Amino acid sequence: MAVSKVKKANFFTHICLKEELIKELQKVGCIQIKDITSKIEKSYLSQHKTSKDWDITSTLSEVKYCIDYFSHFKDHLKKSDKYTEIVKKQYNIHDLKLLFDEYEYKKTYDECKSLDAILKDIKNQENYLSNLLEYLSEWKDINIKMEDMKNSERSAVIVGTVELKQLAQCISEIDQLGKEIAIVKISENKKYCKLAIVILHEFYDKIRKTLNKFNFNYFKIPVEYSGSVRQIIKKITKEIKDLETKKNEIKDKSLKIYEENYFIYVIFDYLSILKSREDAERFIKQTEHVVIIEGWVLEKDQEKIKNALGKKFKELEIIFSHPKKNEDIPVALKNNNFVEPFESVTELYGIPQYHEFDPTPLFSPFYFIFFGMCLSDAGYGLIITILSFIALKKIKLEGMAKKFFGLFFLGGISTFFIGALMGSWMGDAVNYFPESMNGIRTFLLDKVTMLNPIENPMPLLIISLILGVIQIYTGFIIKFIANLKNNKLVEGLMDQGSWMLFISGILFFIITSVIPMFAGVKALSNYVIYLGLIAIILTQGRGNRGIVLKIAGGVISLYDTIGYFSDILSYSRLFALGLSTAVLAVVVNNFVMLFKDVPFLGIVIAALVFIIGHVFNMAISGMGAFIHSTRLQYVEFFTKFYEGGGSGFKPFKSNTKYIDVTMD
Amino acid sequence: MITQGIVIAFLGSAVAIGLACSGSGIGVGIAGAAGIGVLTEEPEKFGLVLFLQAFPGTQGIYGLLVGFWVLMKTGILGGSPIPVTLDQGMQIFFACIPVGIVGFFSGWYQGKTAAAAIGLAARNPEGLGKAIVMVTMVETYAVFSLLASLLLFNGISL
Repeated sequence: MAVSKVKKANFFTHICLKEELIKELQKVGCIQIKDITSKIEKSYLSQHKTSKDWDITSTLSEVKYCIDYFSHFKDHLKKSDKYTEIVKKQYNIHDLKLLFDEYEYKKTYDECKSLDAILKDIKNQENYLSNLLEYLSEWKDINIKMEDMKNSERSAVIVGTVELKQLAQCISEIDQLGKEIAIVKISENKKYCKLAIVILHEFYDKIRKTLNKFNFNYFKIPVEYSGSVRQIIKKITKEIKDLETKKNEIKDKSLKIYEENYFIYVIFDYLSILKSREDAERFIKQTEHVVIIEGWVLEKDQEKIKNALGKKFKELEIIFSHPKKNEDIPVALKNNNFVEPFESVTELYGIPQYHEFDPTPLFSPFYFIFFGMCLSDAGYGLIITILSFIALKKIKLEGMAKKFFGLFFLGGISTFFIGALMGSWMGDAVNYFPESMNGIRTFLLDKVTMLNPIENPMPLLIISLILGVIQIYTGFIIKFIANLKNNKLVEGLMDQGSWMLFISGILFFIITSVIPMFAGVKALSNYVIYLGLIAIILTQGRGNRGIVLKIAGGVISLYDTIGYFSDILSYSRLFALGLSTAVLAVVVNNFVMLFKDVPFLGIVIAALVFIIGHVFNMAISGMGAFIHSTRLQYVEFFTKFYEGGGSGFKPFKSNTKYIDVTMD
Repeated sequence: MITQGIVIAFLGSAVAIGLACSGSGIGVGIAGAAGIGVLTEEPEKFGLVLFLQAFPGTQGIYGLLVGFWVLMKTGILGGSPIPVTLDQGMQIFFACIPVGIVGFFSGWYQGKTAAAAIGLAARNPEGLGKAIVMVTMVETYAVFSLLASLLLFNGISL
């Protein structure tokens, strides 16, 4: 039961201490402030009104705008020493205030905004021009100048394409319209023919009608240009180039602003802290003189809060109380070091509700073994363990990311041991050791290895299924215990007991049929099955009305047997995935040996194939191990007893993205 | 020595790899198209989208696995094929069928599910865990077909 106990805390203080108190609550950082504005409706209670003469939210969004703008040039942003000096540093909250007052973020914002507008404009132009360019390149062969195409006083020029098979008819129909029409074929390809038609104005409407009939595709004259199409293309190409230069200028300017404004990241964090304070203030209620803050705290933090706040404020009353059952109580998980990384799997599914129990300790041992069985290669296990260990030590990780690396660290250890038991070290790489290392080879393959799934796969399959049976039984037992705790012993016996009896009987029957040693007690298994069967039929339909429906419901529920056995069969994936890692690794090694004998470059190619092949296999199989171990918990295990759907405990504290802040 | 059996075993290997990889190709394609749609709006979700897109890729690997196993066990990969009789060759061919056919269809349909999961992950990242389970449900049958192929193959005495 590793759901932390939560208590409700009410804080009452004088209104003039409001801001100080909120600051202090943020500093302590272990209280989740509750929104009570909608709950208590009394005429003398009012909501907090902001007294600030400036709007934090809009300032923050402007600062964020600048940061987002800089991130457009992500590839060019160099983290110089100056950046490290300014951003990777611890700040005191009071110094931050001074910094913020001095710093003219508005200037940066305006600069960024105008540059951004220009950049967007350039991009639009670029788009327009490149589209035009693409269009015109299809009309390269028109030698008529644009200004000639524009209608003159008496004549007009129409340019466009018509389908080849309609060409002859189209021309003949136009010819019939009048003699003062000149048709020039410009070019043709397999499907279309380009035509230029010179006409007198009085024919214009008529000719358009005819042309429309033949689906004539008019050439759109780019009105802003003059000269021939080829000349225009040249011109546009140059314009695009000019835009490119302009873009680069803007980029250089932006980078210069970026380098001068590393403080913007500091300010961003400072404003985020202020913003979270303001958000907290919105949740509280007040009378004319008294502020009321309500929140959740973990039971273990109770004393800490009392001490920290009691010392600072004399005029403060804190009342801790037990939460009521129907309240939406936030949930924090607390587990030991081994189990904690597995919380990430629970969180991905949905953390437990407050009155539920935490399933994490219950599935962690299974997860640990399953991951190892799916990846099952000692070499890969070692690599994953070392890499995630380095990541955990070197990178500052928090929350979910930290747990995931912890998960891979433990999974790597498990993989190492299970891989060693199956004699897989980067596949069968051990076999290719030189003669002088025979000692190691014999030790690894003959002493450590218990079973080799490539040579004899059946034992591993059976182990996988046995693990499945164990986990399903565990699920039943957990639900049974949960029923006991809720004083539902009878329900537990009827729901879980009957099924366990029945399934045990069937398994017993299978064992006695397969293993000759137990054949003597085979008859006994029949009795267990019958007993279970009767128990299920009698109890599982009890929700229905009338004796007939009750029995019928019981019989129908026997159908669930298929579900339980398909659950158990589902664990065969452990075997299939483990074997697939091993076989792929062997295949990689086979390829390495093929390339080894290539003259000169052989060793290099072989080494490359070895590295790339194994990294690929490790990544794909590692992903498979994570996903399938997770799925076995979610679909096969959790469905037996777990609900989830609680909301996480999110204490009110200073969350910073770039800098460290001390609140003293 | 090239026997008729070896030729049939070749066919088996080709069916396993060819069909399963086609299924994966279709699936990864469908998921990828959905992924690109998301990336145009939110390029920072690249890692997540790639992760989901990779799901239908496993069928191809399972097919490749069985195909290679055939080549290894019959000695073709080593360059010295063992004499496989016609009956054994047929057995090998049939053993390859589950992973090939199931790989084709489950890869295809997992691609559709993965595409939907990508859409969900874009709108509501909290739902990701559940979406992954849905996608993995399809994967189950690919794993089973791999299992079937491996067990069938295990039953052949070469």
